[in-house]
Amino acid sequence: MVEPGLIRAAQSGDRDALITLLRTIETHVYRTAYYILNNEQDAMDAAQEALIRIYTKIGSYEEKAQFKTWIQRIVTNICIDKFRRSKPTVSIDEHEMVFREKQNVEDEVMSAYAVQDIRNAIDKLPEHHRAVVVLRYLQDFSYNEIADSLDLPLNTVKSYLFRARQQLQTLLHDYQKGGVRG
Amino acid sequence: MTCQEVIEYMQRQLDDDLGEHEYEILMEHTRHCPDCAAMFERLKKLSEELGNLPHVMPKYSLVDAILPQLEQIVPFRQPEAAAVEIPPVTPQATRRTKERHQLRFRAITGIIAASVAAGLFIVSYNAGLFPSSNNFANDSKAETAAASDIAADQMAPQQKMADAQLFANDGGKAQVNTESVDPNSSEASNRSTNDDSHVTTEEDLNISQSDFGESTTNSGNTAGGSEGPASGEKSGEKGNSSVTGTAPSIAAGGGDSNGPVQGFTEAPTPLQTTSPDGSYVAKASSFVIHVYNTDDNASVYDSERRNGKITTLVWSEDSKQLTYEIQLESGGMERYVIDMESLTESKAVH
Repeated sequence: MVEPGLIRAAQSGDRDALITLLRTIETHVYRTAYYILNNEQDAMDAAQEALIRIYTKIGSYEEKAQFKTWIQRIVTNICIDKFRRSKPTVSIDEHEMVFREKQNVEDEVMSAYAVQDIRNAIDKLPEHHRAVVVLRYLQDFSYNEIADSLDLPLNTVKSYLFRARQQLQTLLHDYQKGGVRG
Repeated sequence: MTCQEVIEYMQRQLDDDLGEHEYEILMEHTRHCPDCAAMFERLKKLSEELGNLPHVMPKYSLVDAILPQLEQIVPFRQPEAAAVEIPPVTPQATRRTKERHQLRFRAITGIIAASVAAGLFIVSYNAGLFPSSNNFANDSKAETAAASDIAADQMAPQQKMADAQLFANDGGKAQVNTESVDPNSSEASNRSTNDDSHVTTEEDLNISQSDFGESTTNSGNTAGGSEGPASGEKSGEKGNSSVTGTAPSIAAGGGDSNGPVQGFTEAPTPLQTTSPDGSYVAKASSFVIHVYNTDDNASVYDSERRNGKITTLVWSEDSKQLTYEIQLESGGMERYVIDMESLTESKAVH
């Protein structure tokens, strides 16, 4: 939660306020970049670029939007546009996902997924699905906040989030089954 | 219900987006469908683990790293953004002060003129179109009748009407103020259409005004100030209901200024309530609650954006906590508490 007074001061040209503002949000910006890009160095670069953009565009922020969705929009756009990599992502076709692996479900449910497995699985999602998952779980955003941040309709947000979770669930299930845990 | 539909319910349950009824359908289905039960377990576990992902931090301060670059850049400032930013606060504040002054100077003529109007109304509408106006008539008929006698002696009828009309405007605005500082009346979501709240006795208004720290600075005028709106409000209300022509000019004036009073059909005003100690005003707008300082209108806190319409907004007695409820699209209800000391909010147990 960024203090509204600080935002106004920054907007009215108080440079110190603007720097303080950037310091309070840098971790949030970095965290989103880190989980969308799944790479520390890319995340550092993307987060820095996002902070610079916030610094230069602070005057265009309007209070009718939430500040936190405004900054997340900037960082996700940078991650998706500038760091778009030509790497394969899984098909997000939902038909193949449901109940593909029925056997031994119950014993596998009991074991925890490794963080690295989850990160790798997130990395396999198409970029917008990935962004939705990151905003939902790393920024604790609501459907509406995600919709605002990514400029997507609410129903699209839900559909992306639901499909992403189902896909992740399938991927992680496969990891466990194949014993590829790191 | 097909398993595919149930899976959507599972998904929404993970985001607390399911209503009670839908939750029962989901549970009922999973009790009989082992596949769905297993899927639900896996999704729940996944969601939990996603929520537990490490909250990573950058290795070094990113802002420090880009400071040299920032030195070279002039931040973009939208010229009108700065200009628009400040005025909304000041003119409002000065207008309010002006209103208060006008109120004070006009209080006496206002009381008399308004009483005339109220008196006229009561005389011709003793039958009582509303149950509440009966109450009012019983309470203060004698008093207003007396006042109207005096006024009738002293003023030309035209003048009276003009004053009453002017005052009705003030009354309308003042009424908004008193309502917003009265925690009882503002608790109800459609308070503006609540007839009872407009038949508030003068004593009630006195109390609510003196609760409101700012207005007590009008020392010596407290009585006049608080009676004024009371009478004005009444005159406005009566004016509205006496459309049959006893006091046409008042009816017109009242109609303009007291829109919300007669607004049974109008959209409800945004949910708004002042903390019991008078420090904060909380306003609900669509999915977010904004908390302001009553002193300078400065924003203190904006709530998280929620997935549903905010339906209630209630302060704790010590003004330290603000509780609100949201109506989810799915029909469910969620309650959250904002702690004003730490400026954090959390989901409350039902």
